[in-house]
Amino acid sequence: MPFSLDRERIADLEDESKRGELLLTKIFENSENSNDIDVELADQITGSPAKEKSELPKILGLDANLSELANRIMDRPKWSRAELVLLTNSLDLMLDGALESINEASYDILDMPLLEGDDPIEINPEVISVLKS
Amino acid sequence: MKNSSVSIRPKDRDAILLSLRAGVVPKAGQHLIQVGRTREIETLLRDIERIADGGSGFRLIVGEYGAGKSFFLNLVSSIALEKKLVVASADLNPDRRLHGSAGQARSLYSELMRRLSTRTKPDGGALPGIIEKFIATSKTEARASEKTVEEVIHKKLEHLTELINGYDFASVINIYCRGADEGNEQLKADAVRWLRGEFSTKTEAKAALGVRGIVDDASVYDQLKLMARFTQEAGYAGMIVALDEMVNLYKLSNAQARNGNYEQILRILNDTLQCTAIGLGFILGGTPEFLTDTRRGLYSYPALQGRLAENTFAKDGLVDLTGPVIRLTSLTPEDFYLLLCKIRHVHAGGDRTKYLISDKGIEGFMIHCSKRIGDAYFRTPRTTIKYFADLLAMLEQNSGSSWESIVGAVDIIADTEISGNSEIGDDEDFASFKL
Repeated sequence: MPFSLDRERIADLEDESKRGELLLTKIFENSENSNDIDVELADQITGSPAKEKSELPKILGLDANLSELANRIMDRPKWSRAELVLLTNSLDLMLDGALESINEASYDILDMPLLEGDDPIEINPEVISVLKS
Repeated sequence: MKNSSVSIRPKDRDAILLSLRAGVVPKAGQHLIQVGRTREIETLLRDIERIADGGSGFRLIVGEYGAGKSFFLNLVSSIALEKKLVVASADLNPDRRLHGSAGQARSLYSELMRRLSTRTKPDGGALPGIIEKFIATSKTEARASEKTVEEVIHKKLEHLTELINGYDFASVINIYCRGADEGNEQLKADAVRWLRGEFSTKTEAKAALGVRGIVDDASVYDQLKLMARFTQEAGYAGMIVALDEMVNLYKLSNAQARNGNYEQILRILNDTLQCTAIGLGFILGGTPEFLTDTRRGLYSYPALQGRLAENTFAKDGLVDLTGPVIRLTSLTPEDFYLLLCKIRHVHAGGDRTKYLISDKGIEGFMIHCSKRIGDAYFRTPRTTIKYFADLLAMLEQNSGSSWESIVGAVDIIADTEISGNSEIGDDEDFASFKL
């Protein structure tokens, strides 16, 4: 049988795929563009001002302890797991749980993780640039 | 073919193209190359929302080899992760089944737990993070309510103790917490080993953790129910278990072994229909014969045949997606054409001005494949997709070349990795030996 494509079926399929694409885009890319971030969200991302001088600003809507950890981690582009275990312990946190919570918050707001990899653990430069901007 | 002009992140683009060129289903970004099947996706999305609402779900995704079952399972898993569910996925094989008496079910459970994923850990290994997130939340609550952490954990996990293995499960979470407080890494590792079902004897588990039970072949489904409830306590919306290559159960030559597995499926299905598996959903991928073969398939088990029987009116293009079975039809040339257009779009990073091959060129590529390997190019498309992704890579690196000159120089070979239906013996009942 000679090769042929049914143009009508392609058009129907395109329409259906567009509906699916919209549905999936809504699920996967809900906060894709940081251009659309409103003021309240911007506060969550870059942090509300610190109440005390020694306190680092809260970021990504995290609580005080996790914000402090995230702020300290962002000082360097890369950490070994052992270094981060020490750092989290000093803040009365557990590393895997803290990474999960920080990245979840980062996904919620920026749709990408702040921290990547298991050992070493690297800082996502895209998140840093959003935070700086 | 018009695609949306939203840019695609280089990381997503590379991950998709690398998977396609390696001939495997992408683990992320599947939505960027999804063609059609919108109603099926909507149905599974409703399932996910019901599970997140404390309900349960069971879907059997049935399709021929190459119809896109694994792709669909991965897409649904990615949607579940986005919706803040935890996903446990595994392929069944002769040593990994839902039921067994020589460690096969425990082996499946261990694999599921090793590959436990969250949105932030989509490649598996999420279990320690889930446990620690639960403990961290409990610590915060303890500080706020002036209770001890143990009291808060006990209160949160009390309802688990009503379930089989629930008491030991709660004890092991407490042990992990103690290990973390004391800086005892061995205790934490042993607790994770227990939760992953990696203790093979009760003596070993008692020595390491002081608990009496272990996850064994008989308790795998109950343990999954416990884990689903635990994930909800840790702040997730629930758990999806995605099992692919279910045809391996159909291939079991021993009827008793097959029926033991089908009995587990019946138990899962009954729990779903009665909504007793809270926050837990199953999605299983299998071939048509795995479902309908009345000698060895699910239909050979009368209670399952009754529950899984499809709507007799669902034929000639009519579908009923309210039943537990979702059939994925094999790709048509038109589906395949749109799929290649989407791959081209991903390759161009979502920028239509960077397309390396025209619509006519894609059609020409399909004609070329059709002449070389016949209908197999779209019916079992893995190899053809790989060739297309390779072709795009070549066009990108050799800007002066035409697709015709590149394709003409390569032999395309049909994908022959068709899942056979040859029987698998069962070592439980027959000793195997070699001469």
